[in-house]
Amino acid sequence: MATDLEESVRQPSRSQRGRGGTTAWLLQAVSGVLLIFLLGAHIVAQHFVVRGGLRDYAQVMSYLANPAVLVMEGLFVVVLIWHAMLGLRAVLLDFGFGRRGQALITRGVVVLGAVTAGYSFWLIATLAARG
Amino acid sequence: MSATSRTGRPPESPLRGVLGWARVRGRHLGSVAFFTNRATGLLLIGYLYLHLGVLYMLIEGPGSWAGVLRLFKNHYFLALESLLIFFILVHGLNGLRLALVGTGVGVRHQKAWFTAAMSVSAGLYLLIVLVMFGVI
Repeated sequence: MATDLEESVRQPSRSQRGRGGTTAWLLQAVSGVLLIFLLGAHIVAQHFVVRGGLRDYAQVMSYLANPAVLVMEGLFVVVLIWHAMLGLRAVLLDFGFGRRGQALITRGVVVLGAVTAGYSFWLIATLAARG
Repeated sequence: MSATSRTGRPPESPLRGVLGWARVRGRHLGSVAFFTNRATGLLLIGYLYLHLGVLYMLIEGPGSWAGVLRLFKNHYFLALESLLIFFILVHGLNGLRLALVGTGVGVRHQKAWFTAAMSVSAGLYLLIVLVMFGVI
């Protein structure tokens, strides 16, 4: 019974590790744990601090004028995109492509992640410069 | 190329791995949890790009952002946003459980872990919805 249960739990992890790689799986887990704190802080800061919920334009500018906030939001962007791209890669690898396909997928998510991070940092930097 | 993979099993046909997630019938709880994590993860990636697109309104200036805030404070929109929070809670807590079980922690109690993760998600979701709609 316990062995069956163990097998049922471990099977998806093995499959995921087998396709995506142990390092990728470990990085996914570590970035996931970091996100619990970073995303939690982001949601609380954006939705539950200001009276009435979301920040208006002036409040967003004032929030981004704080250097500590910029560091936290920058770290959040990096960890979130890292986690999302590794997850997307794992999902795409489940299609069962060959080695060439797997390499293309890896390159594709690296490019998508870099573009997404570039846009996010441009957004943060542009808004911070106005503050 | 051989007819079997390194594990001795026949090679999977394309899509089988993905379509296999959704075959819940006769599956163990671990597989259901795995599917839940993948499905909520994909939804959250979709939301990430929607969110980044909406944030561009801040670049356009205070007028555009005020329009976004009016839309976000609509009750129908809040209901949709609460669903997003539910997906985040489920993905986060179930992901944490998968990470622990994947590293060999609490493997024997995986059913209890899953029940606990889903119960905490439901409890937190209820609390957040009550705060969002100004009930508490």
